[in-house]
Amino acid sequence: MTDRKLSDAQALELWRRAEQRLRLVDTEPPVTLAQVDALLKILGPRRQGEALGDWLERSHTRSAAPAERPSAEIIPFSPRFNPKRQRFTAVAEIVRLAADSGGLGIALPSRELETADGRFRLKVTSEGEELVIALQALGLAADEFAGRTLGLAPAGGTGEPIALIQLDADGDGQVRLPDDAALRLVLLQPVIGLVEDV
Amino acid sequence: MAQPVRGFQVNTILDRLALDMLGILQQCLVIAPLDRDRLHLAILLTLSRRVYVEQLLYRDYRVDRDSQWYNWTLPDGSSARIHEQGIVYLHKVLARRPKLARRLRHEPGNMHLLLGVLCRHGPTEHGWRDAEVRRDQALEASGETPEFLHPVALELAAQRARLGDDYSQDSKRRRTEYGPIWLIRGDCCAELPEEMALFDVIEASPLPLAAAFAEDPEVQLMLVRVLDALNERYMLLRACGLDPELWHDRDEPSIARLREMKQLRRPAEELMRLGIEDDNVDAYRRAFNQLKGSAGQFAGCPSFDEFATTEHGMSMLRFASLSLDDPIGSDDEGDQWARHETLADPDAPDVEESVTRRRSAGQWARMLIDDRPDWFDPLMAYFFTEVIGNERPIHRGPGDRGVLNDPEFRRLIECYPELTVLDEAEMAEQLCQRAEAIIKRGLRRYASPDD
Repeated sequence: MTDRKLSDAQALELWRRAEQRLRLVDTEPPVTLAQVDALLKILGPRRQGEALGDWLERSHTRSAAPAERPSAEIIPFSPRFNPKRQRFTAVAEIVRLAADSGGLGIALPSRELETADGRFRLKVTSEGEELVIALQALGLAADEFAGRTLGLAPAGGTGEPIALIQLDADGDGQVRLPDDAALRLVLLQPVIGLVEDV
Repeated sequence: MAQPVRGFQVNTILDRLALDMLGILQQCLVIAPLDRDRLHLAILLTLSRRVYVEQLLYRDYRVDRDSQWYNWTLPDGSSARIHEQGIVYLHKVLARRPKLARRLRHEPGNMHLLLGVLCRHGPTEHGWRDAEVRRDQALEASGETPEFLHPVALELAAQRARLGDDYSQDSKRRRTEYGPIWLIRGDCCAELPEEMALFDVIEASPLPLAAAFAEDPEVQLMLVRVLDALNERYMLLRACGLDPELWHDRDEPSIARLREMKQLRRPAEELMRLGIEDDNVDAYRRAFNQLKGSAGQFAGCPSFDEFATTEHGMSMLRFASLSLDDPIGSDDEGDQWARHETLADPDAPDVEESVTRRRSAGQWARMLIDDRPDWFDPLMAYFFTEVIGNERPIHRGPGDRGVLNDPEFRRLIECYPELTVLDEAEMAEQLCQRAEAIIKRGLRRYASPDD
């Protein structure tokens, strides 16, 4: 027992303190590693540089099965850059390893490419006579560039992009372009930039 | 029972988070190598608990609450869910790399100091117990013992390379004047990046740490200071109704301006509650003019009309109108959010003092019980003393088995068959409801003593 009698004002202050303390009481048991691991099994490992939201979104379905991409996905053709009405501002550059450009002709990147600052990932796949170029803004860049148009331009060239890619709300986008030497040359050392109307 | 030692008191929701973070780190840092996915998921699942969704995370009133969750059904039939705002919080707050406080001179920042105290719990056979972190002009990187080089020194080198010279001018000046910041262990030493994020600190820690690290009051205090510093802008934005996802990384409104904006809320809500104003904008106008007084401007604006047409002013007023049915005037911990607004506050109380203060904290709850003994049965007296007064966790946590596992509590609960049939979460909920009823009774009685 404490021997101190509380005044009304003191008691009120202490009851308020108790009220504040009660708000901070957590009735739920703490998260266990077993729970974390069970969820991790469903999610699968996070890819290098993958945004947290993308990682969670990959398996976020009622049945917890991985979401499948539509089989007949329509990939837009790259619109043309209009130098009179648009401005291209470089924001990152990818320098491919020498091994990537070896062999006859200009090889396509054999793997996904990432800018040195980890802000963008570029993937190029060949589909018949066309190339499909997929660009992902990663991490903070996903927030910064989501919904915006980015371009790919040759390093040290005219500064005009030859591929325009509209990023979606997650910072992902892809376009289809005819597969030719000029495009492959750009992909040797692509400069990624923001395309804005002037 | 003996009270757990803690380097801080749980006074705010952020202290609560620090406690949970300690629990998460205690599970993830005692295993090598670090599993980042596991760590991030554990944090996200924790941030998605009700206590944080309601009191820490930003609430976007424009969207339906249920649409903000990622849900999964786990193989055992239980469910797991993560709140979108938890992701924003991890991304914008916990992963942020803060600048060093301007007031610091030769002292490292709290992130560096946190790494230093964590290192002391690294494998003892490698001499981590005596590790220290300090600025030094004369030192050079040294030591090639494998367990120092990899992963600690190499990880730090990678972090320094990533940082480059992308850090504040203040840090650059201090580095020039007082030398780089070093992690020193015996004759090994490695330079730390001038500015580190919490996850940089975790990645550079010499794992596995001894499990007792989470019970070290110095680690605890350093962690809560780090969280305080990381959290400040987010909490001010939340208090002002500005979506942190959109506003956190902007320079404006500044912290100082946000603090002024936040002051508008309480009087405006009070004017509405008392019926003095029935229009939200009018209430804010009156509050603005009262707070501005004869000063030239308030919240960076000379008049309310000007404030109301700024992007942040409009956002705040829009939020205020949307949140009317759910007043957030109760989050008064905002006044304490900036307790450690600068990192490595040299004036902060030392660990011993903090622990001692905490030990005596339970007395006030006892005073309430003694004042109204007829309101508490033995079970509630025990629960109230331990959980409300002594700030102990209901469930097992760092350094504490949890009140539900106390032999005394187990003995008392046997007399309440209606409670013993419940699972632990339901039982905890029931006990909190009973405590809430007692507290409301106390508040009613003493707020209106004549009733």
